[in-house]
Amino acid sequence: MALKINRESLSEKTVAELREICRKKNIPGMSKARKDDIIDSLVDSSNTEVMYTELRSTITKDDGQIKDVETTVHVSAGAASMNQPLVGQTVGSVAEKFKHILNINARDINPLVNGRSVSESYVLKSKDNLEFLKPASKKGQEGGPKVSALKGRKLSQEAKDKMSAAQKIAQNKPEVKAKKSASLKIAMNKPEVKAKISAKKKKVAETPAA
Amino acid sequence: MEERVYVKVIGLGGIGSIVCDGLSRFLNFGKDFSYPRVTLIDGDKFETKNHERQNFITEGENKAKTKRDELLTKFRNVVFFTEPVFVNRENVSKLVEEKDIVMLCVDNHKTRKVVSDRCSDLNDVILISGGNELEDGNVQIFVKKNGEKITPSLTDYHKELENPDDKSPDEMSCEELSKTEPQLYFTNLMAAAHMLAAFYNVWKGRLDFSEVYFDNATMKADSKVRKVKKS
Repeated sequence: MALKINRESLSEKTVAELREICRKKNIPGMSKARKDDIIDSLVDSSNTEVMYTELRSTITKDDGQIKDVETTVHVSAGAASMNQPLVGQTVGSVAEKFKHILNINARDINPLVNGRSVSESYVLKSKDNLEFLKPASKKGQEGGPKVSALKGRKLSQEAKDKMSAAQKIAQNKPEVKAKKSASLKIAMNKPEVKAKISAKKKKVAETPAA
Repeated sequence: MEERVYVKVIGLGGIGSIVCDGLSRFLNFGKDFSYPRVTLIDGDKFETKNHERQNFITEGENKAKTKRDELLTKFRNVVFFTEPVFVNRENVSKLVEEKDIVMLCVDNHKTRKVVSDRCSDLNDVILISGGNELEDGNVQIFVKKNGEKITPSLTDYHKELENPDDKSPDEMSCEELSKTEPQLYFTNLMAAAHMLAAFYNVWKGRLDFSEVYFDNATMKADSKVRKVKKS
């Protein structure tokens, strides 16, 4: 398994030792490079290796041998999709984990693996294709089980209701009411607002009654 | 070889009015088609409020008829028919027949269910259904060949289509019909484009998916492959 290389531990090594590590890791062009550049290259290489290892796992076979297996699963809901290392996890746990990113209702996930309906307890295997089925679209509906990368841009009805209730409570608080009333008074006393109101009153008074 | 093409476009709203235009253009100038037939089906009238997203010549006229008049002037190699009715259980068997290619552009699940059930009863049919919300939508493709389902039907995986809880237009009151949801022309365009691309791919024999989702907000589209459920 790849381990992340620590910059400090590399600094303690001699240039010759660092070059030897580069040679073993097949990092080219380091024979004449400066110590700092060699360390940078090793750190970059380590990061890539860790990323790669996160996407693959090692499983032990019966004979004790270690074998590399693809652990990424393609997950999608509507137009949104991603590849994640999810082998061994249940569909239900994936739904819970990614419900906000994929904007799915974790209580009604309707999962399909490789085009077939599965239960929430299905354990994902290597190269599985997991889809949380999004309902068919209707006319101009908004706030449905929508998938969007612009997270938080659209809210579920439940969230909207909660926000609306919280807003009502907040608006009824005496201090909020007092602030509102004060700011309204200030606004009404502005000369330009006064002039507008007076012009409107004059216009109404001049309009002949029907 | 020239091939016989009978297309039924059901629903001439935001998506359908774009679909029938693009489709007629393709059929009119394509060398492979011998007098293709396009039947336009919609019981609704074109109203002023439709201008925002729909392209029709005459207001107050039935959408199918006024759209046919418009298309006739542009595409003389296509034979157009009209059915100024809403599709329902009673008339669907007359409107959707064997070897039809159905472009289903309605905005309610009840009609989708009616048409999907009818197509499931036929032996050879291609059904492409599209719909959209404000900024995203989906297109489903159901193909049946020689009595065998090549892709799942519209209702096989979508329980909201299998058990629709809405009404079809002919079940709605005038008040319900006049109620409009916010719609975006660009999303209608995207739905229509995906439906036409699906039509083209099916025509080319390149069908290896049964549904496509798209999203204007993220500029993404993703096609899905689903297994056919044995009845």
